[in-house]
Amino acid sequence: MLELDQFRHVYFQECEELLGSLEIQLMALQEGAEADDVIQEAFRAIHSIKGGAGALQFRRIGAFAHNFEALFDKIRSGKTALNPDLLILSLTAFDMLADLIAAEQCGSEIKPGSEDHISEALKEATGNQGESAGEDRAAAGMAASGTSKPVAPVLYRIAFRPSPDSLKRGNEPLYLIRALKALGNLTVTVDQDGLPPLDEIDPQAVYLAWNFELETVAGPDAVSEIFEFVEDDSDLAITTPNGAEIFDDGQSGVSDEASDDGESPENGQAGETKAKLQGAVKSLENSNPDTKETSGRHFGATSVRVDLDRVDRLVNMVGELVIAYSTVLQHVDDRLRLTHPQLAHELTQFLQHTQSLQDSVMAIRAQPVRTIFARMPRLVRDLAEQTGKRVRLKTKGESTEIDKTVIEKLSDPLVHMIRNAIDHGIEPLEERQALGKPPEGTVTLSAEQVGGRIVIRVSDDGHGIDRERVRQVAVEKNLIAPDTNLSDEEIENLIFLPGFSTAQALSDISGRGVGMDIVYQNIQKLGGRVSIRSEPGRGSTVTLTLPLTLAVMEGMIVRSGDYVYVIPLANIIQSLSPRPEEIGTLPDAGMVLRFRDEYVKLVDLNDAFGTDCGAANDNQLIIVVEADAGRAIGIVVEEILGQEQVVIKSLDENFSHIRGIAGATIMGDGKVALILDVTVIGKLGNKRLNASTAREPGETKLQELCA
Amino acid sequence: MTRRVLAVDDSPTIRSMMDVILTEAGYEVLSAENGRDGLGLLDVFSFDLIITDLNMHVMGGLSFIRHIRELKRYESVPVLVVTTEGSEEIKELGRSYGATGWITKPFEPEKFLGAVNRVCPIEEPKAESG
Repeated sequence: MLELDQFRHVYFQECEELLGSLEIQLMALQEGAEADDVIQEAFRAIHSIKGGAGALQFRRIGAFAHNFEALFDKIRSGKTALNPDLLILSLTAFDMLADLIAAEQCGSEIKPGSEDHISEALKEATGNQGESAGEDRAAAGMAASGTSKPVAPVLYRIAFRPSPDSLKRGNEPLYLIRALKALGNLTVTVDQDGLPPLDEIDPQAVYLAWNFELETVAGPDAVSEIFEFVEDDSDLAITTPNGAEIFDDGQSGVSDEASDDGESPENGQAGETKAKLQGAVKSLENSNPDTKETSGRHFGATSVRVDLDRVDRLVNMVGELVIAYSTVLQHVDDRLRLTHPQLAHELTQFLQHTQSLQDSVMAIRAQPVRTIFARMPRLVRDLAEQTGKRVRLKTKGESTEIDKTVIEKLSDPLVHMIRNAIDHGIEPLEERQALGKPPEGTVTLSAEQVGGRIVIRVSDDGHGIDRERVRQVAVEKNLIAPDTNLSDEEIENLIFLPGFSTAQALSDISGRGVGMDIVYQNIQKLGGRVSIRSEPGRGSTVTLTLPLTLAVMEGMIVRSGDYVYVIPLANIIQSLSPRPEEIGTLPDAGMVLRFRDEYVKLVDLNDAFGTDCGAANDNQLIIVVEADAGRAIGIVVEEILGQEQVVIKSLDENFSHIRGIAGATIMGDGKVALILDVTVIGKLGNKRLNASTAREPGETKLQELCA
Repeated sequence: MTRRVLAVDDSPTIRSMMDVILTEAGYEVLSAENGRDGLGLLDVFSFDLIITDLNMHVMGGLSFIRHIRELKRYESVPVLVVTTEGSEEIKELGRSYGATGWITKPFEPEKFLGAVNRVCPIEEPKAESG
């Protein structure tokens, strides 16, 4: 018995792609596209979802997709015209289908019958109200196979004269005879009357006819099924001993054209059938945009579907390889270069290959941002509808590629940003008209790769950020002191402060009550940065800067006390060795550094993690990093050991979460270095928090970890 | 001698099912996601049976069959089309393009193998008489 579970994975993966494609087509239709290929593509997606569901016996999905498919079948054949109502129905059906698939995938339960009203609406729109549940089931692959087998063997007499052409089409009568033989006791008599003189024989033609006597327990269906492919163009008669004819076509060598002409007995409505046939030809041929076929018969442009787990494993293995390589590199010193120049040379080659291997492997997991951008038009449309505003979405750079793991985590922040832009950025219709702006607001979503990072921007042409208001809220929320002197940019970026968005006036309209701080936290987790720039009356732009991948990171390796840390290079503004007069003490902030005409807080890692070894260090170095919301802090370290590409390993799997530590990496010498979470480090410094004085429940103490 | 089958379908689910069913039955299976890729494989390998879906991107099943039949090597190799249940006109259409038979979706493994067995059985004839 075939184990269907093994195909679940590939099916759901396929569904994800098909639903994505279907959504794009539906949105295109929404925007007024009327091209046949859009409808054809939508139909194909639903059809494939249904096909897989049928094969895997996901009956609910299959039955629902069947009704959905029927609607698009009518639309593509031109029998039903697509109108706004049908489009809304299609979008609703799309959501339902996605829900049904998601439920099947997670093993969760959607209340039985919750899709019924949509199914009914689909049937009504298709004109299939009368369609019975039985047909639904059949379509969903629940064919009630009830071939009852007679207990006692029955004798069938079969007269079979295949069409002379049957071999040319790949129907080998010998195989049919063998299949008959497999059913029971077979007696074969050959009729050679049709055999022409030897010199007239066409070796490709069939001249023989057979008479069979088959004694079998198999039912008549099983017997006639054997001739399924040849019955239309052969002479075939099957009778049981009691004389009942179970098959007799009474035709001999009737060509396809002839049967189309309505000569066959079961073809009463020849005209209609022919019309259907032509319709079918048309719709099938429409779907074959290969009439030109200039591309020739190469099959290079194929893709391979690989389980993401396997890719992850590969990425990890390559990560280990990079580490192993670094270890080897430790031994390549000048002496080795002198004694074994060839070996040193080969190792350099090895480095290059390792690096390009790493790049190639990372590229496997890369996906175009299109996969998430494509979901946004729908969101914009829904939000515009909810808020009564008119909004247009422009997208740029959809083909920019990012690591799949980043893409997945990017979706939520992006939704929030667009939500914010429409809720709070774009003005209501009347206000825009009063301001002399075009009534339709524009939200622009763009992606581009800048160096090793991806920059994603969401801009709107709304009223921008009300700085006074933001400042006021921040003061009310005790996030800043009333007399704090802040630049415009700093005020704008206050909206990313945790807790800011609970200021309801600015974010509750969206109904979710979550705001930019959520965006910020998520992006930070991805090793990215967020900032906002706004021009009053002209709109705002939120900029996300993300690493290309989450698995590897450029870091600066530093030492503080006995510990080695990695500071993400992306966060570093400058490293310096300060003059004594540049360092001061502020009563409420502790040590500060004068840096570019501002004071930045200093955080001593030994202090922050309570790892003080007691030895005062004279030659301090300070790494100035960008912490939260554009604010800088200075991290005090003793030594900079170098700059390296490190492979990020999660600590949370083995240890509970440690504040200030984002992960760990294994250094070239095999030792563990901790990767700093600079956002939290800033807070540790803020509160002068020592690991010895305050620990959240479940936190691991650093010493325990490195002991 | 191992029978080699080319399975062409744009659905990865169906492709992998055909692959597993046929492989378990002892066939050697290669697959492609459209007719054009299928033709590419036909060029490089030789096949004893071709199974194809009809509605596919790039090159659909009917064009695919037409091209197959134009190839001398494949003019009488059995070709089965995968169709949805009960679509007589599609079966007819497939035959007019040169298909040998059909397999109805959603396919049950036994029926699927039954159809395959009727046009391309796995065992070689053991000096059968008659």
